[in-house]
Amino acid sequence: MTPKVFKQLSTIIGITAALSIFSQKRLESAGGWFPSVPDAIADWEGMNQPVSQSTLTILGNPRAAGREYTNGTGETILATLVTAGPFENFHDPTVCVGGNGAWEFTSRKEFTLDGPGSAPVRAMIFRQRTNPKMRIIMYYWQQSRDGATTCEPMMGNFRDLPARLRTGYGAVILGRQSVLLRIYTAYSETDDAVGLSAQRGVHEISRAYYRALLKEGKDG
Amino acid sequence: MSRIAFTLCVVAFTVVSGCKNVRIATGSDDKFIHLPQELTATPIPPAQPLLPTSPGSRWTYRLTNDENGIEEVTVLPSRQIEGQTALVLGCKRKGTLDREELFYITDKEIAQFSAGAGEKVILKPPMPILRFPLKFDETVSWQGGVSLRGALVPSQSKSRLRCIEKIKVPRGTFTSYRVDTILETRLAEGLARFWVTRWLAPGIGVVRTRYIVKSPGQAERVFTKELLKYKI
Repeated sequence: MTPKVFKQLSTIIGITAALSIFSQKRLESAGGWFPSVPDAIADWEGMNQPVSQSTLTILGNPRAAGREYTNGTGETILATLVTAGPFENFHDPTVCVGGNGAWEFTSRKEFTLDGPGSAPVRAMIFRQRTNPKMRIIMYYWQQSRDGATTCEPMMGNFRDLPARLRTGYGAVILGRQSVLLRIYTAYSETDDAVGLSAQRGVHEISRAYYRALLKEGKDG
Repeated sequence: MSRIAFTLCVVAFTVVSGCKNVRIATGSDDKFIHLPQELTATPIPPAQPLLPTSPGSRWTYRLTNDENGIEEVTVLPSRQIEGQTALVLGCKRKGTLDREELFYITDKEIAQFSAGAGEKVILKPPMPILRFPLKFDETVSWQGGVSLRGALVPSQSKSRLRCIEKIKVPRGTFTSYRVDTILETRLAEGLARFWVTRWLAPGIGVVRTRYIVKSPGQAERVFTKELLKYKI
């Protein structure tokens, strides 16, 4: 005769396993949306720039697209899009960029990308430690097929738990599919004193991505 | 039973909450992130012309190139070219007229008709470097030909107003409009690129120019012209 406690334990383990498989499948499905990205944006010409295999390995091998945009006046903007399935896809730039010690994470601000009430994005500055006049400005956000965006950190400790639960709920319960976007460029303070030109480029390309994905999400 | 439930909760919490700390910004570079309304702000129109045209106006520049010399630029009498009035700048080095630079200035644009150092370079049609009303980072594109040693070489350029900034030169500190231009010319040896950055102060003119020249098979060369004195 099986003790009652083992029956209860087996039931708990069975339910947990079933939930785990279900949530895993739903998270994989959440990474199933892989929209195309713009080839040209206003004066910017895009070239395919595949995301490196080492980066993809760190991110858990999501599907990814990379573009390098140039405008003919010496400016270059990089853009990457990765599918947002399992949580290992959600590497936060503050960890990835600042993690190797070459760049210091110095500032962040959040605002809406396409007018009041539109898509919240996170803008970040990383300053090079060996040459403090060099900076990276990066926009980062997660965009769902339904057009919703979020830019909360997801790979941190207990502080990020509410954001992870919201994202997990969206992916597992609601079946929401989304992608993660990083649009960025590096510039020197001697050439662009307060980074206005650099950010204008990043902003223009980010807004074009947001709109293109919004359209594709609705049309698709 | 309660122990098992507690353990499962702890394991679930650890898995969900992760173990890596997202970095906290030091906040030291807040002025380098601009809100969207700052990015779309239009430039304050210059209260005075960016290129003074009154005949006799003159500027003296210090050259930081191989010669480390002096260049004197004077507004010469205007000239009619293809039905348009051109501003003529006579550029003297070591007391002799080295070349002339011609510009068309209208209420719609500033365009360059000829340029060059040492030899005459004609741009056909005139190459716009700035369009009015001014907008930051709006690209002004041009496609045409550059007349070099008698031949018309296919070329293209892109110019844009980058920012309004204070710039320090030997004559003083000036609030100026920075205009970047890239001119690409397809020579027989390959593609030559010329980056020209001009700082234009309203009512005073060009206070600083930086040239970067990349000719096929040669190392990149950088030289500047900085205002020493002027008389408008």
